[in-house]
Amino acid sequence: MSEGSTPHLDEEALQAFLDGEIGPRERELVESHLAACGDCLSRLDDLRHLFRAIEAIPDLPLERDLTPAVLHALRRPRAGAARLRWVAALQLAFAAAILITAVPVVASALEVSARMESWVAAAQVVLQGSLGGWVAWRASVETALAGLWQSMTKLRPAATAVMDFWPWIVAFAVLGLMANGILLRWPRGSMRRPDSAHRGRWS
Amino acid sequence: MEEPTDRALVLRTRQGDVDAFGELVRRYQTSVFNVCYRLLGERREAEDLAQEAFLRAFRRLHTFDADRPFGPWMRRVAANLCLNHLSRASPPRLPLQDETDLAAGSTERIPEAVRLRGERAEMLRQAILELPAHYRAVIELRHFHEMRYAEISQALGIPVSDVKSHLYRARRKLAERLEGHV
Repeated sequence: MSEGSTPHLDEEALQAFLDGEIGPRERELVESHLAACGDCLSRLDDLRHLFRAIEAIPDLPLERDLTPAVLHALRRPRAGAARLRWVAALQLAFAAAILITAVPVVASALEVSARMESWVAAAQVVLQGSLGGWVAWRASVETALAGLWQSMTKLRPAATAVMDFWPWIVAFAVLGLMANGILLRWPRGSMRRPDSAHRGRWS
Repeated sequence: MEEPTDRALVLRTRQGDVDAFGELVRRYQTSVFNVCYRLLGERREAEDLAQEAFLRAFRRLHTFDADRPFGPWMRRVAANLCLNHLSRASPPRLPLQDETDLAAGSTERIPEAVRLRGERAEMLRQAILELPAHYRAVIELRHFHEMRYAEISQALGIPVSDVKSHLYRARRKLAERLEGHV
């Protein structure tokens, strides 16, 4: 390949060559051209100097030490976490208060103890029935279902009792929600939200 | 007393020693700040983003392979943060200039210029800062992070052909600005 007989290498190819971004076959062609073409070799040298100059730009000095601010930001969430634990404990106390108030009322309204006995009896029948054959098992299932249906009809007084306490329930629910809101909005350090990549502006 | 290695500091940080991370910040804050400055072109903003880059690195330290050098990883975190920041920035704040704007060669964005030694290096730094953001990004990733075209393509979400053409045009602009100085 002699100078003048082959078109000069374009600059994009020279850059890719210097970047090591061309394949072995292409590299061979570029190298053989460079061996014969002083112009392209000179352009390659200019580019090489430019690359070195870019990479040799000295760092600017920092005008302030970033360490204290970074450490402060890293430690701040710990204090927040301690406060968070208190709020969570408070919310737990509210939940416990709701349970303590509501459970006896609901239990008595639903006649839990009586119904539990009937459910246990039904479960025994099912068990015995399943051991005694298909017909007996089917009969026992029917008995159990009947017992269950009967106990379901007792839910109406329970609903009435719950309705009597609705102001308390609403009050606890509101307080619970407020506490939950505090939990969710509690500061999470000074860090911004993780960035999502917004691509498409680099083309 | 011998200075602890980066690896030792990373391991101590993972065990909850925040001061060990502080030492890493002391060691790398200048280079991280410079990554941000080259990409953003504004000192205050670069300092803020550098600080945030360290916070992000702290949160993601569990993903870092402690057997690899910490500096390049840290600078990469900073570069990614700045690129995301640039891609979200409103056009009036960080305009993606047209090539025609480059000819104007405004120096208003680099108030530090007068304080720097080395006319050529400073001219080059200034020329890079005056490039459009997408050209600055490829120059930064290629020359300062030694990323390959495919990696840059992935980082910026653009085709490799765009990476190649951006680099080509950016370098041409830099060469034109430096003609007679390099």
